Amino acid sequence: MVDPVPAASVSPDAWVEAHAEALFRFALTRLRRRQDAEDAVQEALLAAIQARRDFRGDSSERTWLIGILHHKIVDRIRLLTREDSFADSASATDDADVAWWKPDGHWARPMPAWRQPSSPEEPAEMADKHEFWQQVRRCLAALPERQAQVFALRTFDDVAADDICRQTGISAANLWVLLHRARTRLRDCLGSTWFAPETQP
Amino acid sequence: MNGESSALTAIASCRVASRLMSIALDRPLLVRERLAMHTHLALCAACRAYRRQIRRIDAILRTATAAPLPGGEALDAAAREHIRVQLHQAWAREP
Repeated sequence: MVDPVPAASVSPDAWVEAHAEALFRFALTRLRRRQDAEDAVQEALLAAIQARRDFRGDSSERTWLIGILHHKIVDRIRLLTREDSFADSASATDDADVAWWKPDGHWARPMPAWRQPSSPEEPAEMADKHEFWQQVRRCLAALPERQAQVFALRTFDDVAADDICRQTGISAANLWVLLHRARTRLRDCLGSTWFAPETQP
Repeated sequence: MNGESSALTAIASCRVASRLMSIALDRPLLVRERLAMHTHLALCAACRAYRRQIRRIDAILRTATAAPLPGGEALDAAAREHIRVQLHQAWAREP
């Protein structure tokens, strides 16, 4: 038996104090615009107040709130996607396409080599490399909004592609295009900065 | 998806093949997609490099899960106060 959270430990002030900042950063990485991130955090905390008796303490309060926030973020992306319908963000030509591919579909430029990973453990070793994540943040900020949003859902939150389509209303064909462009942009951006052979970390 | 398969009737272009390399990070490829991708990769050093690079980025970025990315912008004071006030009002309405 897990004791329910004592009511005294939950209060609006305590939540804002303990979690608002972290929730905002989480939302900002995924939604990109400050206003959208602030709105999502507010909606999540309001929903948490209404649902607070459901919180049983089998995860941390932060994890529980992040779960609620994740749903609010997906809801918001669905609304934003609906607004795209006039000029669909995926079927519309991305300016970068022309720079990447010749009309016959071959790469327009040579693929630059990257420096070698320092070890097979590279992914784990990057976790505390602050400058790397700052660079990732800058590269994500340069992506078109919808590309950045679906990329974050897929990569950071590990949401299955099927689920992204169902939850946001984006078609599978559009999702493949958005993710392909997002990855190609990130490849360009991280390749010319962090992974460039002459760059020292 | 029909666009994908019709583009695969000939040897895939770098554009189509690299899209398949991206899709392979999201779902298992169909047999004909995998065949088209690997046929192209065998012939194209640029796409082999592209595939290595997007897979490397994917493996690293996947380690950043629920934790917020380090650094970045903070919630500003006005927004924080607005949220606090909204929560208090909702709290007062809740029994």
